[in-house]
Amino acid sequence: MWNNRLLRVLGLFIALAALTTACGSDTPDTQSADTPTDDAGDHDDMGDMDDHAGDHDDMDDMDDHGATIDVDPDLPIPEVAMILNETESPGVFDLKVILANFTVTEENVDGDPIDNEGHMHLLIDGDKVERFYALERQITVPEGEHLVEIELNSNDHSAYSIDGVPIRTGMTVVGAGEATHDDDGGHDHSAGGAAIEEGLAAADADVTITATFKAGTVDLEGDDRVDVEVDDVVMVMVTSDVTDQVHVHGYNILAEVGSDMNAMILFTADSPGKFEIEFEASGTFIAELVVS
Amino acid sequence: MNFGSLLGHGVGSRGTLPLPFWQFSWAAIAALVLSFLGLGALWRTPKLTSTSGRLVPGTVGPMLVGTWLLRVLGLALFGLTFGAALFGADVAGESVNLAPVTVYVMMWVAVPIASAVVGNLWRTLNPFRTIGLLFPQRTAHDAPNHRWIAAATLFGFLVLELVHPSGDSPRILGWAMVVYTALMVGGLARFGRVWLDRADGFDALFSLIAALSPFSQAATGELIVRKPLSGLSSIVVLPGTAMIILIVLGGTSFDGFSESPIFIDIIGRPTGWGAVAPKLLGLVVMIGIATILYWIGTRQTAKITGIGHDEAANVFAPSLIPIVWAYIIAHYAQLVIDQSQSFVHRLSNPYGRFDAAGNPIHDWLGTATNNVDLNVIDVDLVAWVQALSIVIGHVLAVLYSHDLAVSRFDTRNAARSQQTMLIVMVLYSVAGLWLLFSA
Repeated sequence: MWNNRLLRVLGLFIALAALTTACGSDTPDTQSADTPTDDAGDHDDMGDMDDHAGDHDDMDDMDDHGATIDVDPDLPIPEVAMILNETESPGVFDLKVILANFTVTEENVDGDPIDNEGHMHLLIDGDKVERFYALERQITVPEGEHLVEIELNSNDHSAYSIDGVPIRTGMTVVGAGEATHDDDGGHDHSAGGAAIEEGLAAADADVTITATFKAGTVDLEGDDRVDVEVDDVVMVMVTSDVTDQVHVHGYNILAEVGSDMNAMILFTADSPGKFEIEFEASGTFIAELVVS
Repeated sequence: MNFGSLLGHGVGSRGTLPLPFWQFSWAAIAALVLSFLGLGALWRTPKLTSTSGRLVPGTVGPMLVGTWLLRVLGLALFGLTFGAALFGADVAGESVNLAPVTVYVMMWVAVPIASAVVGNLWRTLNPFRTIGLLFPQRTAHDAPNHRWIAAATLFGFLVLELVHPSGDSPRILGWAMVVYTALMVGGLARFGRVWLDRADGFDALFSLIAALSPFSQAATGELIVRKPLSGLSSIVVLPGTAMIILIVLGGTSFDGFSESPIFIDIIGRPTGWGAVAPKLLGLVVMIGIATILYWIGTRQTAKITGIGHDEAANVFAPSLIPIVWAYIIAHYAQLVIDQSQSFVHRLSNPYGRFDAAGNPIHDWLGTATNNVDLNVIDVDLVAWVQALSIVIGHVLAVLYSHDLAVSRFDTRNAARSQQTMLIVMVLYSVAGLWLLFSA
């Protein structure tokens, strides 16, 4: 069931607040030029998408000012993750965006902010490239090593944030060449912070296990024994101040975690049994998943 | 299991039994007591001890070919595993390096489970036996005439497996293999091949378990077909032989117990070196409990029959072998089913190295990127096999010790001498079931 290519994704991770730099300005040299595969052509607001040689419209300038809007702490926190796979064409990547607690609404753009809805921005090296709505598309990354990020934005283009820090996910890729990869001698299953079973989205999760690892201790929401039924969809979200991997045993799913990336694991618990979820390197126990 | 990253919660059962634990336990107790009573009434002459089996003529050639194939296979796997452990990716995960899954699953679990059926596989697979062909059978008459060293090596292995915080690290495993190899080859050079009979814990244990098998090999090379269990009577019991069995019984029990909520309530979930002291203590206590129960069980045998307690403990030691085999199946059947797949996958890329794009460096068998199918055999069926194995193992132990007793003592004493042992068997089996399904 686990598509190896998917699991082998070169670094897909959620980075809440990876960078505190503002959106920055549109610059042509970091332009992701060709994005023909999504429904971009239908948009009224094409300025973002096909914006050539710095020919900005006013909306873009508004986008770029780095305004943030804190999410309502009483609502579920919007989350974003992404999967990037390099295609046959050098520098062109398939992008899949995974959203949790966030609705993309093209029709309300430029309107008033509505909690947990809006659109996304693609950023390269901290600079905004374009606004987009599609969860699957292709992007082109210029030659060399670049940081690709996705940001969640409200209808008024301010970035959703937590305590002023924008909600973003990001990963470093090498455009027009090979994507970066940690050559630690293996573990290609896990080079990123998200391991998401094909066809699943965060909204499918029947159970979510949320844990924070800080200063050597695990803070788990709820009981450390999590009972689910066979074929339930399980989401595991882990934040950590130490770089490690989150491992769901048995199912053998790994996801990177660290101070700059959260782990997100989403899978169908289709095999009964008791499965430990722990930090792989330190062996620190997170929770026990009991599938029956 | 301590090497959690290799095996996860592979210990015990992933399935559920159709019966609640207590019903199953009563069924187990009933099976044991009824078989004990039935044996006392009906089984008055030895049927297993002192039978030698039947030589199958014309099997010398095929057996020789098979032996050499297994020797080459054993050496090749040893070389690959050793190399992967010392030089492969030092990643403990279940899907990277060949070494941990080979040692902890294929050798430690699959070999003994298979040995009880097909015979003494390890005798030919064991790379030290093959290396030992270069050495004389016996060069020193001062070779140890006991199996305490073999028992100690098994205890060391269990500490690495269940106590050491990084026992699943290929590199740690590699260094342990260096030490073990030095001990085996050094002893071979000093004492000759007899050293392996006395000091190689794996060889000793797997040979004991292979005595359950209906197949054996004569000194002349022919295949021997015999009654199952009858091989137990040909075991040469040396000082330390009983301890080999008790250490493995205790170790397997501890592996189950260390996953139980009781143990976790006591020690919490410490990681790294903080877990060493409580786990080591737990392992020693479990081996101690198994030993004390056996000691109590054989004391009555000694009293009633007038033989010495040490003698009774040695003579009846082989009756524990069906239980060890049953415990291994009960605890690890699911693990073997799951992880032997991983073994085949790892064989394609034994060092667990990947290129910059994340593709395996080698894919010899085309399995390097396969994933384990956790449902390859219905997990509830496996749970049944696991639970039944405990009951059957203990019934076989009762049966064999009864047969042994009637071969040595008069009928009345034979049954009486085993009464306390029966209670011990009941305790062992209920504890075993509890560890598996209730803990």
